[in-house]
Amino acid sequence: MNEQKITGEWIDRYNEGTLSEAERIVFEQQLKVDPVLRAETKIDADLNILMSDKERFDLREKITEIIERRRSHPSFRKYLLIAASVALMLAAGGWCYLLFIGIQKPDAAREGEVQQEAFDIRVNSDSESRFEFMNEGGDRVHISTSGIDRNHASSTDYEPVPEYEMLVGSVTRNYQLILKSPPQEKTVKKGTPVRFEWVQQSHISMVSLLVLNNRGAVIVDTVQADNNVLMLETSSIKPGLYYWKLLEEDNLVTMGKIFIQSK
Amino acid sequence: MKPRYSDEILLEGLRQGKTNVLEYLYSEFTPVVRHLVRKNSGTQHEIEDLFQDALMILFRRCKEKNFCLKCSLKTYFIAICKNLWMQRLERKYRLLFQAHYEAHEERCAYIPEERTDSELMLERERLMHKNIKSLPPDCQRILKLYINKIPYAEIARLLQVKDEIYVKTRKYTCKNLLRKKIMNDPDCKQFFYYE
Repeated sequence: MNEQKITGEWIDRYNEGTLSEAERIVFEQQLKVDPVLRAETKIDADLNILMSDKERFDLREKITEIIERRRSHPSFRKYLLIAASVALMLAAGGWCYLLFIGIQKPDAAREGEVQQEAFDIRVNSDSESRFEFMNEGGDRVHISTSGIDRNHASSTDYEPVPEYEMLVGSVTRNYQLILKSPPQEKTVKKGTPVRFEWVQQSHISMVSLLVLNNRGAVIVDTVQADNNVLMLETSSIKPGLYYWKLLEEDNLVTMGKIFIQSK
Repeated sequence: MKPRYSDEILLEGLRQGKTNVLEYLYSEFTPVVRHLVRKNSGTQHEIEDLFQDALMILFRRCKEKNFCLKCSLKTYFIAICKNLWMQRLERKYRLLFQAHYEAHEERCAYIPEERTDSELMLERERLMHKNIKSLPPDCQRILKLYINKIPYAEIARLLQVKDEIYVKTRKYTCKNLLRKKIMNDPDCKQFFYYE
């Protein structure tokens, strides 16, 4: 007797009633002993019922499409809710930033300390202000400070400036100039000079040193050509926190900070 | 401005399977369904499934000759949803089904018929439909044409294949694949168990 192998197609044809008599006998014998075949045959019968009702099938199809479309495209109301949540979070974040990181006004007591003569500014006859700066050759260089806002001409404390703090220690794209000293953070006693020294990889026409106090006011703005060393005299600078910028032809090379402590 | 449809227009649109009516019903009725399901910590999928199944019951009912709405369509739909949801909770979580109405709620003559409105039957139907949607595109196409009672010869012409014997064989293959998917679907196991 030929053994007939039951295929998946037999299940369809059994439920359709198109199996031959011999095939049907074989199939029904197998149904009695095979629970998986029984389950699959039952599923097929249920599928036939589902697929026989075209209207019902189409309706399910349409409802499913609507649900899937709504799922992937939230309603306008949902968009409004999302936008409102984002706006609220941004507002809360901004408020926190202003509260904990933002502008702080100096104490009333400290305000009294802000002096016109925060460091020794020599006032000459034409009211131009100057301060001392010494180069490697030992020459005293007097830099005009007439452009400086004297009301903020000094650091009154050691409070860091967040915008500058981010840049301290970072080196920008410039590789023509490599700073040898000072380190990115240096603490000196008032009166101790600070040596700025660098190495030039190729000819650079102009190197500038900018020193600012922690109010953002420029204390030193000097241009150096040819020599690779500058000495910053601190005897005339009030104790506090200062930031310096080394620039090569107006491009920032690196930035650091100096703490000037009282003697 | 959002259009508003009367209950009669909605029922007629549902009988004809009009997409704009189905969209409207979804927008209007889903919030109520959501409230009902969320009360019992239901998920978004359960909300969508309940809406779909309740709408299938409403569809079948509104096609009956002696169907007569004794309350608003929304109230009737909510009654269907509540009944179905309670059956589902009872089956899944063995909760005692206790129908209770809110004081202001309109009583509606929705009496579920065990044979046709069975929660079990609806869920099984939905799961089978879900697995049909997961078939390869060519299988879906053949089965949809078959469901639309298109002759095999015509299907062969539409699909640009050699003959109807190929279509028939392909249909058997696709159904075989569908059966295997259903048997391997964990959601379906509770409905199609075997000893």
